[in-house]
Amino acid sequence: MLKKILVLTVLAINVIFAQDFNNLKIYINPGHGGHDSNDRYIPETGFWESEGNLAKGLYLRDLLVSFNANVRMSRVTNNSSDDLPLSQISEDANNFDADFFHSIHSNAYNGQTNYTLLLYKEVNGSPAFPQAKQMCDIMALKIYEAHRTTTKYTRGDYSFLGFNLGVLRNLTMPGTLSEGSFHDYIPESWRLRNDAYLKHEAWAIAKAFIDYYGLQTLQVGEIAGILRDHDKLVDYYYIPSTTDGKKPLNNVSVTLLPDNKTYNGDTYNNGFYLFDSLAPGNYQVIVTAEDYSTDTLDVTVQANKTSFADKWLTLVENYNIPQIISTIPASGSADVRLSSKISIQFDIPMDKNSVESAFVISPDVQGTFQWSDNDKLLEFIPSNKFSKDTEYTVTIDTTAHTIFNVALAAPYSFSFHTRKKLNLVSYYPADNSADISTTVKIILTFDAPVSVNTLGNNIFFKDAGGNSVSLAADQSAFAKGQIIFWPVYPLEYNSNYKVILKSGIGDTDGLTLEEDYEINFTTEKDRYVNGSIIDSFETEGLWWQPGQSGSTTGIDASVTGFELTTGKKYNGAKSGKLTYKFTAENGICRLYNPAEPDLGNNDNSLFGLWIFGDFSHNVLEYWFRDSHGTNYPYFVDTLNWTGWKLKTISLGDLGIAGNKKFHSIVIKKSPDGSEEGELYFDDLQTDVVPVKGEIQLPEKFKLYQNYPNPFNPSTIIKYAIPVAQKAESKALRVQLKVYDVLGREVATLVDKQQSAGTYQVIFSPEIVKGGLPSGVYFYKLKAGDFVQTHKMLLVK
Amino acid sequence: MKRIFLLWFLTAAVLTAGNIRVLQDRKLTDLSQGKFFFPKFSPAGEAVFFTSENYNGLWKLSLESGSLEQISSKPGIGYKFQFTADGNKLIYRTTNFKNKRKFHSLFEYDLINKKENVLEESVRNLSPPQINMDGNVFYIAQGVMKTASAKLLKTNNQSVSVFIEDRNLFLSINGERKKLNPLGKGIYLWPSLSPAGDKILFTAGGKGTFICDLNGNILVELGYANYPKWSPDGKWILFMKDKDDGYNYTASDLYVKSEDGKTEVQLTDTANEIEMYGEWSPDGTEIVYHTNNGEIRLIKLQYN
Repeated sequence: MLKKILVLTVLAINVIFAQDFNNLKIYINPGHGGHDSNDRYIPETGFWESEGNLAKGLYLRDLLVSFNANVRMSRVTNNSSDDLPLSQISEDANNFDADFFHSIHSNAYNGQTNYTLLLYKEVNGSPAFPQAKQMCDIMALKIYEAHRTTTKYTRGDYSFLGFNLGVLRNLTMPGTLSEGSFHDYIPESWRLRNDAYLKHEAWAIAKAFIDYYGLQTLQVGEIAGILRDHDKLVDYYYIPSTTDGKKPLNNVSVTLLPDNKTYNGDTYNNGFYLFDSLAPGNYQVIVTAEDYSTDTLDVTVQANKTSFADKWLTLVENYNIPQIISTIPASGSADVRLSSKISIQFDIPMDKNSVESAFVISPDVQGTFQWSDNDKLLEFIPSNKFSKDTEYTVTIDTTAHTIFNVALAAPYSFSFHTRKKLNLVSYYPADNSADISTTVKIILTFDAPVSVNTLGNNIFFKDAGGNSVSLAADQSAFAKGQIIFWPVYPLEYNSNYKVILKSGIGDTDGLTLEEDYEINFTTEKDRYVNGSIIDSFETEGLWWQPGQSGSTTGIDASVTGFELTTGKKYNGAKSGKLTYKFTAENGICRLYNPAEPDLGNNDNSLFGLWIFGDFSHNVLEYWFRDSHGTNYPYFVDTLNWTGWKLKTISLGDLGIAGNKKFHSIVIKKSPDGSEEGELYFDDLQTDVVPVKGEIQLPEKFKLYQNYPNPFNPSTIIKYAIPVAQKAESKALRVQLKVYDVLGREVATLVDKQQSAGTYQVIFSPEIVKGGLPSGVYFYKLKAGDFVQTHKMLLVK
Repeated sequence: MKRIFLLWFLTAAVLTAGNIRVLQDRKLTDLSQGKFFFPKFSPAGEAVFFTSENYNGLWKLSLESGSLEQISSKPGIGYKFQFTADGNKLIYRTTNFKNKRKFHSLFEYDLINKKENVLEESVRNLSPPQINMDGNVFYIAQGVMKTASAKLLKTNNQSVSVFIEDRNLFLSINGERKKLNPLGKGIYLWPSLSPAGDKILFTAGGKGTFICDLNGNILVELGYANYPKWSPDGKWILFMKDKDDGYNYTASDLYVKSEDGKTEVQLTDTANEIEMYGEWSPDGTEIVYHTNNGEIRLIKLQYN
């Protein structure tokens, strides 16, 4: 019954609004992305404006889309790279030809104010778009009512700021900017960390759009409120005319009757809760919070409004003896970081002064105390780092007592031992390993963040002759306790290399490795000559997204995806990049090629795909089909390498009689595999030619005669590209085209950058629209200054 | 090794200074005349056309006489207006709102007879006019590509154009459109064909500006370079490096970069001015641009 009501409610919303927004185009700009210098951060609460703005924007998008609006956002993630410059945002909005532009922000001033501000572009004292001023008036009221800020203002940007806001400057449509509330006012900053609070602002903005466009108002309403401690006051500034002085409760639990929905709150000191999309009528709200009394409120919901139901709760008296539930570090811990803090979790709210007085650490360490979780969680933050290789003992004696004056039954002690040195936990390649990719990515993992300053003269990458190998490094890895680097140019085949780590490599605790390491490895022996390319991963749209495949399961769809990229490639200009994240141990990520290319019936053919491995230890499979459509999954390898490797299988090993079709690359989560990874694919092919040992690169250009000739239905054209003459260009632009006897171009078989090597392509007249008639054709190879043409004969 | 790098940089700097330089950077309009934005040379180069705040109205400034003439006061007219190849006509889009919904009209304006002819009237989903390889002005109305003028700048067997639709980069050859998206899914902006018609200049939001061939193969990565524009001879790219704090522009300067991406020259370098949205003169010896406070300025270039 409940489900039916909910479904009907959702349907009702959609029916009411199905035509109302009627594809109105709305552009949403969540301001300040990326946790960078353009962002705003409040250290006291951990609030980032980029996060708040984005959450509001995403909720707003979902609401507007559900009302049948056409919505575009300037960003949907929170990285510096997608925090577009204002010139690009305005160009994107103009290209979209939006009917309205809205930029979402929160405000900051002196930490003691909290009003709602809406800005529009103003020229010569008037709104550049009168509609924008009208929207500001509507939206300011809606947000003011939702957030219950102290007041609201609508202002022209020039009058208010003395300049025209760049974000509204170059738009071809009315634009507004909302500063919903002040994120440097600490009570509001805590509230802005609550997801439901941000959603409530999105509802307010959505309602403003409904009013602005004169659409039928919402037939649903919300219940929202803040639960606070009846007696305790906050220890930060609050505006006296508000109730913000009363301490908000954490871990609130609010149940709505008769819907029987429950809202569980967070631990961000806001006490906020929200129920939305409620049909008008009478409800009961049962409110409580951990350690607090329970109360019931009667609330009437009205359409298109928020009904507020705040409550001040009292702490439930508890005369049990307090227990220490856990500590960090746990008792007996070894290798504890020198920059650690100490956490002690009690089961009953404690009297802070008594616990702090009862806290002793030996050897003595100076530090400060912080309390959270309703005074049940104590954190001790040392003023200086702990000493290395030292046993510390923390004792809370029996003078510590609860706020109800019940003392610990016995002194509580726990000990831990600090780290002695930096430890190398794992590394790839393994020492004395062979068959390593010539484009290997070397991964060294330590037990603490690495100090970049200690790496000079302490880490070396050398070839067999003792020469240093030019390398590039992942700068973001150091903070994760990793050193990740790779050769700038491919290594030599079948050659020995070594990575030398000196004892002076240090971590951010100031500890060093204290011993030298040497990791030796040999690169792979075998080379390959490209066979017949099935997909060079240069063309969009040939593969489904993993989420489109029915076999894909247990993945995070917001992260998992496939795209072509120029960032890393084995050949040509692009490769295919698969980013995946598993959410289940039996996760499967399938990349499906709907063309299901036919591989023929040659059991001796070697099938292969160049894969840049991610060292995830997940499982790689290729999936094939026989002529009856039966699926043949084939285990290829565990993803236990980095760098480009051609992963081949012999088609004869599939056990498929007759023609075989390839259709999918599949990654399966293995028990010890990483939850997420990133793979690159290039040059999917059959008829791979393995070359054992040294390969002779061509010394000169050559275009071979096609085979077979005459031909029908297809023929192979082979050509050779020598080592580039100019050092700065490792690859040449290579074009191979087919012309008819009148000199008209009928097909382009190759048009891309290629490095030295021997290549072959299959020409089938079927690729030409409408096919080709029998007759003489010419194929011309153009590579740099080299041009050569041969004749071939198609016989039908 | 470090010494080698240092020498290389010094050489590059000398080359940079030697190839192209700014002879003069002068003001074309004064704030007392009004705030003007998005200037563009007429095809013959004898006048500069520009708009005011929010692309409202269109003005013509004669570079010979210095006379300033308002062509129109229509709203939205200044957004990406185009000239026909002979320079006799303007094609522009105007904007109006009905029931707060955005509508556009498209006009052809005869600059000699000062007559306006409506091409599309008050419709939704109408792109601004754009120019293709053969000099024709085209636009996209409700997803359909239409030609606005038949005056040809060059005779060319193929009608080639590039444009953005739904953030995708499209190439159209003889009406057959192909989604290029050289960097995969993204936000594509400011596409243009090289004067020779064999390369495409575009910006990918958050990734930078690039040159690719007509198959979408990346040829050159130009880095952070907004509003990129080919020089008439196709050898240089004009662009701006604008900076902002999420609310407002904090700085911007104009640069040119050689089409191989190897040589870069900074054209403006002022502490207080924010120089934006440059456009080439037809002969490539001058650049017009606007400052963030609404002045139109002209740069005279010298090539060595």
